[in-house]
Formats: sequence, structure tokens, C-alpha cells
Amino acid sequence: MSARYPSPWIRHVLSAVIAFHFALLFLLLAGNVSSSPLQNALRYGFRGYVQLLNIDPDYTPLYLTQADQMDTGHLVEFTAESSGDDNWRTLRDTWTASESRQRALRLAQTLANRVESENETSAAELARSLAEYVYHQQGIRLHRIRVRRHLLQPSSELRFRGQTARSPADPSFYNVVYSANVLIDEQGRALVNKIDREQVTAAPNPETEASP
Amino acid sequence: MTRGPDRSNSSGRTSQVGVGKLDAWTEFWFAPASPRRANQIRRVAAVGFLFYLLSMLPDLLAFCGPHGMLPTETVKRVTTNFGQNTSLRVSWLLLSESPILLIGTWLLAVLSATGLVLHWRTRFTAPLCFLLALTFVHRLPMVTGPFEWVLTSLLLYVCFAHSVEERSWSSGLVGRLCQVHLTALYITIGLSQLSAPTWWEGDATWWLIANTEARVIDLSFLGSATPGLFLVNALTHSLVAITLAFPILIWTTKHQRLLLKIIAAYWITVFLITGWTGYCGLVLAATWVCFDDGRSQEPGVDSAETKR
Repeated sequence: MSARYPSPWIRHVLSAVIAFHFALLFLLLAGNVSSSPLQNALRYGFRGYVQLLNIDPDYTPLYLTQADQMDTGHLVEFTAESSGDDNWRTLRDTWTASESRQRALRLAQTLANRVESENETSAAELARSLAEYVYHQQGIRLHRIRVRRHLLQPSSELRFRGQTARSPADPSFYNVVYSANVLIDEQGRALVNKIDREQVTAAPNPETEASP
Repeated sequence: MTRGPDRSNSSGRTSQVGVGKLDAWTEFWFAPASPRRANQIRRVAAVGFLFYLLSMLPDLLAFCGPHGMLPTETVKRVTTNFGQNTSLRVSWLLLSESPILLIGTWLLAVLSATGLVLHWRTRFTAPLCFLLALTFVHRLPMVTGPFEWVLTSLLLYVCFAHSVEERSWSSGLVGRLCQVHLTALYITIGLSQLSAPTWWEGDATWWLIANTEARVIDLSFLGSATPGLFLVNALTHSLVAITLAFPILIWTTKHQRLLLKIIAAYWITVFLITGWTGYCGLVLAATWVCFDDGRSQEPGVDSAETKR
């Protein structure tokens, strides 16, 4: 590779590739928050390129937050058959700034997202996999599995002097998004049965660590 | 874009081509450049990939192994919505949950990334790192985030650099690809923030601070008094202003180092209140090496480039 410019035909080919790549990238980034039918059609039409090279941010929260419910922390929790509904444990509760932690939060968020977009089949599939993981990897026969959303404390609550501010860990800040009974069969396969009418708030999570 | 390409060339070889006849597009993308920037980008991408792989170590078998949290069948069913859609996220890790395959792929990736850090056979290790990164990312699409998105793009671009020692157009091309990609990222961050009322109202930073599941430091005391809230408002407006101003100023200002220091402070702040270690670290490092012209480190740069 010399210090010269590339030959004209290489320049033309690369120029076309660069123009195509960045046109698609800008189009995908422009649809980061919400996208038009045209953007969706182009995203679908070029999905081979887009998905294969992972250039679609795909609603990744590049904006950091929109003060939306999905921008809160989500947790997957479960109880063992032996302890009933009393002892909820968090799945893979690791160090806050670790990538492992981010993955655990994203997994719970994905499950919550499937529930709220009424894609119950996908939600059940994910919950079933998580239940089987806990049974096989940690030797715990599950009773229930759930996803809780940790709502955020408004700053006004801290400044309002008429009342004592709640702790961010107060039970009223937790919202159960998904809850299901779990049955482990003789082959170790999990069956999940969604509980339709779960209580709106749930008890705070005890400091129990279930993951290694 | 007014920023000229890196044309420092004491040997005068570019004159053979006739720079004056080339249009701005060609000059922007294909001007030969020193390999310094491309080497730095390559090193940043490789270190980012190593960080990703180390972070995957405790998760590899837990997520992908036998009876893992996301078995291959579950990933296929969820990504295709039970066969209703097609997914083109190809990964050979979707073929099996064998620990040997997982650990073997992980080790190969660590070796490749180490080779790339050391600039060892980069024509081979750079594409290999890119393919291996995609392999892991496509195996776990539900738990990937902005870090993986930036990482795979950087690894893709460094595949284009062919030389680690000589001036070449491919070195310049890698720098330009990364610069434009990062510029697009900053524009998107800024514009998407403007789409949410919380960034206009000045309390977006509070919602990040209040997220106890992700934040690194607890700044919630700022919400308990009006001056603290004003600080939160100022921080929110500053974050938006920086992300919107950076992609414009970085191409035009003479005070590049100052701007890079400001963007470094931005990413450190974002890291502390979001806990997004990999994403903030990688974008910060990539921005720095892509836009820092390193004039003090490159004695051959002529005065025209210095003035730019």
C-alpha cells in the first residue's frame, strides 16, 4: 500500500460503498427514537446488511433517558419451591458498573418489553429458559418467577418538607411487570404459567444473592 | 466539512497524483495519511474487544452454555418471533451450546484481540476480531447494548487499514470512517435527547441519578435542595449542549484539545450516573484518538496543517 491515492476504479467502488453505508447508518440512527414506515421498509429491505454487520442501533437508548418507564431498572426475581412466596432472590445481581450487571438488567428489560408489547409467547419462552437455568445451574426448584420494575424517586419528594421522603428502596417504588408460576417436570423442563392479576406493588427484595 | 485531510507528506509523493484535480470527496476520504491515527484506533478497538471478552467470561456459560439463561433455541424463537420473521444474525455459537465451542471461541477471540493490540498480522487479526465480535453479539442479541454497537463498527473500520508503518490512503480512510461514524453518533444522541421533554425541562440527569440499579455514584442529595436541583438542571442542559455542539465544533475549531477535554468530562459524568462502563470508555477513547491530531507527536506535520 503506497502513499498514493487509490486507483480510480478502487475510488469509485469504495465511494459507492461508503455512500451506501453511511446513508443507511444515518437513516437507522434517525430512527433511533421512532421511525417512519419508509425507514422501517428500508431497514427491512437491507436487513441482511444491517443485521449481519450490527449497524442498526435498534432503539438502543443512545439518548440515555427519556424519563420513560423502560428507562428504569428491571430485575428478574424468583422464589424457591421450598420457601414459597417469602424469599425472593435476584437473578445475577452483580457489581453495578459491570457489563454483567448491564446484561442482567437488559435481559429483564427485554422480558418486560415483551410483556408490555403483548408478546406473551416470547415472554413465556424467556421466563421458561431462566427458570430452567436456575434449576439446572443452581439446583433450585422454582416456585415463581417475576420481573419487577424499580421506579425512580421524583426529586420533588426530597424537597417537599411536609412529609418524610421515602427510601428509593421503598416497596411502593417496585412494580411487578410479569409474574408466573413455575413447574419443573421430571425431565427438568420448566413450564411457566403467567399470573394475570398480580398485586401492583411487591415486597422489597431481600439482600439475598442467588447468582455465583 | 472544512477540516482538511492529513496531507503532511514531506516526500512530495502526493503531487504525483495531482491533488488539485481531485474533488473534495476524494480528498476527504482517500488522501494518504500517516498510520499513527489508524494504529491508535486499531488499538482502542482491540482493547475494547478485550474488555468485552473479559466481561463475557463470567457470563459465557451462564448465558450460552448448557441450560444457560439464553439457550440457542430460545434466541432463535425470540429473534424470529417463533419463525414468523427471518433473522440474519449469523453466529456459529447458535449451532451448539457446547462449553468446548464457547471457551474455544472465547480463547481465539482473546488471542486475536491481543494480536491486534500488538499490531501482529493485522490484515488477518483485524477481520478475525470483527467476525468473532459479531459471533458473540449475534449469539446474545437481547442483552447487547450501545457498547457492542460501537465496538463492532470500530472493528469493521479497522479492517480497512493495511499498513501499520507506511503512509497510505487506507490509513486515512480508517480515520475518516471512524470520524464520520462518531459524528453521526453525537448528532443522534443530541437530537434524540431533544425529542424528550425531560431534557428540555432539565430533569433528565435527575432520572439517571435516581436509577439506583445502574448508577455508580449516589448524587441523589442534589435533589433535596433547590441549589442542587439547579445544578441538575445545568448538568442536563450542558449534556445536551455538548452533544449538539461537539460534532460541529470538532470539525471547525482550532481548540481541539480543549473540546476533547470537555467531551472527556462529559463521558466520565455519563459513566458515573449511568454505569455504562464499556460504552462510555470506548466512545471516549475512540473520540480522542479519532479527533486528536497529535501535532506534538508528529514532527513531520507542516504549518498549513497546524493552522488548518
